[in-house]
Amino acid sequence: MKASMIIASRDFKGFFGTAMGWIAAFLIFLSAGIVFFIITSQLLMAKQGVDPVSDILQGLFSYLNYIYIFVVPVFTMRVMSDELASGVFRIQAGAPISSWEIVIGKFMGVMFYFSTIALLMLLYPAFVFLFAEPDVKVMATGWAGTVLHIGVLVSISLFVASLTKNSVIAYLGAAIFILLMLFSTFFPAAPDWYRRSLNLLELGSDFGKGMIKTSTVAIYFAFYGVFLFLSRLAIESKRWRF
Amino acid sequence: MIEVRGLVKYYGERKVLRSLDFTVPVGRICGFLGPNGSGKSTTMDILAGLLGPSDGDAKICGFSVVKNTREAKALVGYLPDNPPLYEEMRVRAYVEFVGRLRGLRGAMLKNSVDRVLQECDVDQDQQRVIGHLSKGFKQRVALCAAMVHNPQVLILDEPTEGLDPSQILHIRNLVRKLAKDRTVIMSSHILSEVQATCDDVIIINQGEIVAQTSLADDAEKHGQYVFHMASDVERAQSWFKERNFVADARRHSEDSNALVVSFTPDFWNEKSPDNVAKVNSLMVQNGLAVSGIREEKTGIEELFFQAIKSNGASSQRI
Repeated sequence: MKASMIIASRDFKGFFGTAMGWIAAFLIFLSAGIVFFIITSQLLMAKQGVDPVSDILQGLFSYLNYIYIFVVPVFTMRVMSDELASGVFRIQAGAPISSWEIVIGKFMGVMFYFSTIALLMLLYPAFVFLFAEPDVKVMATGWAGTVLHIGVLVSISLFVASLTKNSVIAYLGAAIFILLMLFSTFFPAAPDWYRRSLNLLELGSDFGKGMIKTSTVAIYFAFYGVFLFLSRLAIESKRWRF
Repeated sequence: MIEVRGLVKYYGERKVLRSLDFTVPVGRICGFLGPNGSGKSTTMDILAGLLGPSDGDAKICGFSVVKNTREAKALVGYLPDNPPLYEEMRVRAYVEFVGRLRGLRGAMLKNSVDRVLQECDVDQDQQRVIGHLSKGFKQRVALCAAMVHNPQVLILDEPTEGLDPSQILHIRNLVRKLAKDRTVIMSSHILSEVQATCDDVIIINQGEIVAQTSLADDAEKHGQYVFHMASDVERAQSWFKERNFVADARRHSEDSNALVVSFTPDFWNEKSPDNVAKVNSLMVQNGLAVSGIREEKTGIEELFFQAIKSNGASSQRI
């Protein structure tokens, strides 16, 4: 686990050591700010009673959940596909650590980055306090739901990135995989349990209402387990397969 | 110590390593030579635990790279042909990162990093960003990372690639110093570099060993002597062939006045420094005029090209 933390810490610092990390953070922050501004000004202009949580924060979080589908694969592509292509991955692969430790380290590195951004996003809900009194508990569960949602995107994208050295394929492959998984839940023939579990945009909706369901948390962790295990298999197989 | 037994590697249908067998003992530097695509880097990747063999095994200080991969990896320092570096990191931070991955902590980490930065002559530039460094500098930073955990076995794939002559000399001396109590295996395309640095040489072609020799032993072996005759080449050849201390005497080429002479082992057993001078005196006494004598040893280049030309149909011991 120590090795995972060392890898995660390096990757996290590495994101902020390049322009990519700063630009992505800036764009997410900026676009979220614009969305926040539009939502609040429309509500205030309508001069209706505003529920800060359901009207503003849920709108903001669901917008971010969409955005992350297209942003997260950029980072997993960088820590996995780019490193496989440039040979830098050999630093970790050649060290006396397990492939589990490498995969978990990569996962945590990207999670630290997006958790930091999600933490900064709390600035917008904080603004809500200027004109309303939102429920802090609901804000906290909404934030937790966003982080759990990002975790699923990271684990899926990391798996796709571990399959290829090609950055473009890694990015598009991950984004398309996630989108297909989402769209598949709209098929009328899809069973209820499938729709509930795989529609990532709806999966965390209870968190935005201040509820934490253990079954939902279990589904999130099942996603992490399955895709991190597959990533580990993909890495391990590179030693033996050609 | 490195022990390789029956190492085979397939890439798909293609057999890139064909049952390699060799041993490199402690305190020796083994040069690994071969043309591009001969299987050098694949062998080194397997020894470093990055690739698994399709068959056979390799042991690093007794630990199998197949069964005890983790233990074997801990004992190896590997510098691949394309140095793996995080371009956005600073030199010291990068070497520290690799040290931490290798289990170094606290004062031990600090001391190890200080030591390798000094040994590789990059301590003055430890706060520079790796992406801003020259190729030779990057090579030395990668070497620092390979040595930070004080490995028992060093695997160096083209360690002097991109270095200037003074840096090459520096790395050569460093490798020789490190090899005193370690095992070093290095590949290089610069044959003179291998000759100057290595104790043993393994030449690999199309995935099999086509020649292996000890350069250290060769240095003590006597080569052939070329006698340049002022005249009477044929008579001189006959004279040589009649001597019991001569193993062979042949014309260097049809139209030259030079004779290539090999002496018997008994001839050298006398340990006299002027053996060849005595032969010269004998020749003069017999009316054979010699205009010049020089020793001709089989260099690594000849060895390499002979071995590659023979294409390793069957492994030959030189």
